Amino acid sequence: MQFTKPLFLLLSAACLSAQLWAQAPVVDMNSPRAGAESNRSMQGEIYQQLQQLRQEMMTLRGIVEEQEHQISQLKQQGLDRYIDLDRRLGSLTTGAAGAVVGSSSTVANAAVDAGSDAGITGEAAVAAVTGADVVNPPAVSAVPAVASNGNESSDYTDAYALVRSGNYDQAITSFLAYVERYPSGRYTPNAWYWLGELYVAVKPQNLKASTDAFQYLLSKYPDHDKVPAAMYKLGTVYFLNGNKQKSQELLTHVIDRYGSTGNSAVNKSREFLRKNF
Amino acid sequence: MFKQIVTVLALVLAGNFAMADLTIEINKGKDDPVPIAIVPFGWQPGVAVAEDVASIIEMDLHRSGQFAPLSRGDMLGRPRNASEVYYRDWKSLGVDYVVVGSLTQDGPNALTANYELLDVNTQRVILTGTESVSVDKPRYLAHTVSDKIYEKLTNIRGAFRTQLLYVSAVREGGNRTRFRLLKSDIDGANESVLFDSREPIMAPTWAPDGKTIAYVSFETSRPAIYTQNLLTGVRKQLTSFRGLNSSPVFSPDGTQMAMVLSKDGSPDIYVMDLASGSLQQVTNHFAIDTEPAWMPDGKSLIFTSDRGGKPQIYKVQLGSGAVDRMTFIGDYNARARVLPDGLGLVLVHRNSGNFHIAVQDLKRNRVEILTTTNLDESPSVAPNASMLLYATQYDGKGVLAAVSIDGGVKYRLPSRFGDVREPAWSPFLQ
Repeated sequence: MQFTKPLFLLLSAACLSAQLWAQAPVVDMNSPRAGAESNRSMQGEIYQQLQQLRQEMMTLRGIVEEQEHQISQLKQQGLDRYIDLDRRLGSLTTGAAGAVVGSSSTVANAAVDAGSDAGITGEAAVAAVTGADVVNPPAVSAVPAVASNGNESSDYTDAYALVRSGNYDQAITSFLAYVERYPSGRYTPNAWYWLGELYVAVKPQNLKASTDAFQYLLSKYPDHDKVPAAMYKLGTVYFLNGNKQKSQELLTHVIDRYGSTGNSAVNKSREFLRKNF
Repeated sequence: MFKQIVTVLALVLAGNFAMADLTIEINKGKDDPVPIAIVPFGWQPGVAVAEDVASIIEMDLHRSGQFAPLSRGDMLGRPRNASEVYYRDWKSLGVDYVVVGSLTQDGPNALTANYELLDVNTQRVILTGTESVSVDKPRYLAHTVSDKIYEKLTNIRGAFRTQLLYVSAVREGGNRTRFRLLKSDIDGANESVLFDSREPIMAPTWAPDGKTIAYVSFETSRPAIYTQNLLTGVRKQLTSFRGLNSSPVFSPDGTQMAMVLSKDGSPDIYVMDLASGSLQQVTNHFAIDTEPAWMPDGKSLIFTSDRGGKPQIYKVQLGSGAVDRMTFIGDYNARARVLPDGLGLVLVHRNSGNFHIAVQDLKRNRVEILTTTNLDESPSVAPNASMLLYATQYDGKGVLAAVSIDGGVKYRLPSRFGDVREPAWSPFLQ
């Protein structure tokens, strides 16, 4: 700590000696040196006061700095709260209208889009990666009605909350409703990913549905952030299905393809290969 | 025959380590280090190399805390290249990667290592390399290979070829203390004395090119800042003002030096242009301003000041002189260093009476305490920002210790004698 323990000592020593100096003014007015003494004692007093003022000023400066910091934090918090409130109010008014119009027609259109898109952009990737030719979205027809609050992001959050609380069956229902309602939504790839995970987590497992969900995600969104994780999971699902060769191929592909990105799916793939092959 | 060579090498190595002032002791590692096997390198018949290259690589990777090297006794074979590797054997030992290689001497001057890094799970060679050095630098050769392997597997540039400056104080008879400014490889080997004095030596620091250093020496009975060229050994006295001359730090482009002078009363921050020697006063306050460090863009400095009653870190713009306080958590923050990306500070932070090394994220203003000992001081960050060195107390002695920037890996570099302090991690060296 080069910050100067010696320096601090020195400074405090200086203050101390000033105080001692200032405490001395017992003066005999009859002595001839009384004038000089009182002069010196006054100097000492001024010096001491100067020291005190400095100290006081530094303390005050510190308080001002800290309060300034707190005020700017409060300002930012206030702004954040306002933006959040504004966003929520906005989604409340537009969401109510959107829910009425939404539904059937848009879903059908989007489903077509999804199919054709995958045909153009995703086919090669799927063939190379998964060796499968499934490019149509897995059937989501038999979806029971799930209450929606008409907001894409809060629908997703609600469904995800079910995952976190362990209600896997309900979570599947919610995510299926989500991908039907928002076929090209912001979180649709994530929803497919969770479907893939959930079909393995529920009892009884539905490995076919899980495989379909992961394969659809990989074919439709080959550049999405969830792809390495989905490949890894799909590899493990293949393994559960008894398709060891496909599993090994896919996991090796994850390591080759994403090995340099530091993605956690790489280490998991490696770990899985080590344990099971 | 091979075994004999290894035994002889082990002896040589042990001898070397006994000579080195610092020995390494890992006291906390990452929870799940990557298992890796560094197979002893093959030799060209007739070549005798003074160091066990594979063993140095092994220690480098081990010290990073991110790897768990397989012990040699457990190896089922000693392949020298990828074609001799039986992946099944290594898989059964639970290693993820295998490094194989061989050494050859081409002519009297060049020692060459050919090496391959293999991924056991995918059964592929993922890195092939050839490195050459002069025959007297086998350790450097090993550190070079370590750097390449580390970078391939972590995506972070390796810093095993860097060096370390530090100050040791050895008490001698008759109430005298001998101060030495020392330089060693980052693993403690190849230690050399750069300067030796009866008076204190403080605050060693590296120029960004790694060829010049600066420090404070009291040899003229009062503090003065010196620079010293590491190649020529030429020393130059830079300042000798009345009062304090302390905390020299080179600017990121190496043309200027920030320092603390108290020639006009209280300690303030100054910047000296090294070519002309002209001085610019950067701060002017009756409080103590000290311990400057440059932001990576070279346009502002951070420093410690008690102008707010307690030591805290401030930032000053060199152009405008505008000062901003940067630390608000804790009642004591000092001796800050900036991470190479400029996004964080490493500093000495007081928490419930103990001094710890902490890292402050400048974006989120979060402080994370990295060390658990007390009286930790003088943090110095590796050029790849993976680890930092600091000084602490252990067994009543001043020792150096290292901790990873996430706090997950810790090791000590205890000195064999005397107190050591004020570590300075070099920049990347050519």
